[in-house]
Amino acid sequence: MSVEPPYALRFDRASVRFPGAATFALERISLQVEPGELLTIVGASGSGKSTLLRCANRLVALCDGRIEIDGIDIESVAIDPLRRTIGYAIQGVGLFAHLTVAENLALVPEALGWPRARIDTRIDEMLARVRLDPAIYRKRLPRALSGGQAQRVGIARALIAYPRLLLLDEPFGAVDPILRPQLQAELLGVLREAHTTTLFVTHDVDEALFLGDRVAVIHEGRLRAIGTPRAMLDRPPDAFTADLLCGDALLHEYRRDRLAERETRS
Amino acid sequence: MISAIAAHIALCSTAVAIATAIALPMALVLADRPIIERPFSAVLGALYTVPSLALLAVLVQWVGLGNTSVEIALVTYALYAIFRSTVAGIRAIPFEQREIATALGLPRWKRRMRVELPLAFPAILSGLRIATLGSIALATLGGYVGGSGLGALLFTGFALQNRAMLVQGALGVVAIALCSELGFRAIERVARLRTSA
Repeated sequence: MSVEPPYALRFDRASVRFPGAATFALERISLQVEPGELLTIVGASGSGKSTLLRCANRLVALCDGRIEIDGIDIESVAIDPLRRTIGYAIQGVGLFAHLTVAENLALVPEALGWPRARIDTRIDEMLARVRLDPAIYRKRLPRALSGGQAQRVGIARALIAYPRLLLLDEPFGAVDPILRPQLQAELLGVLREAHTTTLFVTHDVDEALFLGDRVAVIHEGRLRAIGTPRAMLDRPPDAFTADLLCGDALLHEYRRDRLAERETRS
Repeated sequence: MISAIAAHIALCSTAVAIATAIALPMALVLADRPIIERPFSAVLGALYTVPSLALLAVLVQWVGLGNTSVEIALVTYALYAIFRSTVAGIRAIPFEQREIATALGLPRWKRRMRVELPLAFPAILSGLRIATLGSIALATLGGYVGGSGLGALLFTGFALQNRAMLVQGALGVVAIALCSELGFRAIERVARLRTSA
């Protein structure tokens, strides 16, 4: 009888050093993410948070340590098939300008060899899930979409082939702040429904605290803290984390209230 | 006159088609392999710098007078523009677009054909436009070594001091060149619009 690992993703002393660099971009990062969990990763620009994300789909190679997805070392499997099981969306979306929405969405399913009928059905399903009418948006080119619509398509593309893991790198960074809470709420709904394990990188502390099941704080390539938003706000493990996540007394109070509101709702 | 224009267009379009069939796949394969691409590019560049009359003179020695020598010369010159523009077009694709295609796990050939080739298409069209214009001009020299087309009309006009033939030949070349330039520019505009975000 096989025993499933209790985690979907595990970083075990993962280190990255770019060629010619004097210091580590990531140094001995160890963390585990449970199946279906949304882990937000927060840190300043250049802290290494995006590098951490890009290690999980092998866009960046480790110089030491290992990463496992569902108990399997990602270095031990073929790279392209591995990436087809990992959804990826970035700030500014990364939709291909010459392909329609449907063609953008079909890329991974086509590479997986899905039959055409299954691809078409799934495209319609995903567009409906991100609240875009397939009849209207299927044949649109990315330049005919608003920022929010393009971001929704980016999320749909990342989720279309039932990924084991979803990697989101500041997906709402370029979105109008007025629209952002709505997109965040929609994303949470879609992820909960699909029960997809997710790493979500952001430099927005509020986004990290109010979206994540847990929050990881990265600074200068090191994992400074990891825990639930409640634990981070109530008992920040060090002064740096307290400073970053709690802010001044007023902001701390506001964030605790907002988190309490979220906890009550869920 | 019409048959000379048709022959000129056939000579040039055949040369550009052959050069594309050679240079485009080579560029697609070598764009990510600079160690091989650089010497290959240098050889094509060196051939491109050989004066056209000198190249035709050498080819006539090997292949003889006629269209074959002209066709080989046209292909030789067209290769460089098409190869360089394709390589440059692929390398100019924004890093994040190439990285997304990689991160989605698309196989290498699919990344090239489905993502990179279409995104590089406007640059490739520029190379095709330059290669075509160069061929239209160079093919006139072909008349000197027995090639058909408007070159034959021009050189016969020179030999016979026939002003009507000279004017017809010159206007024919200008008309083909202008049509080609305008046609390519129009297609390029559409392609750039289609690939712009």
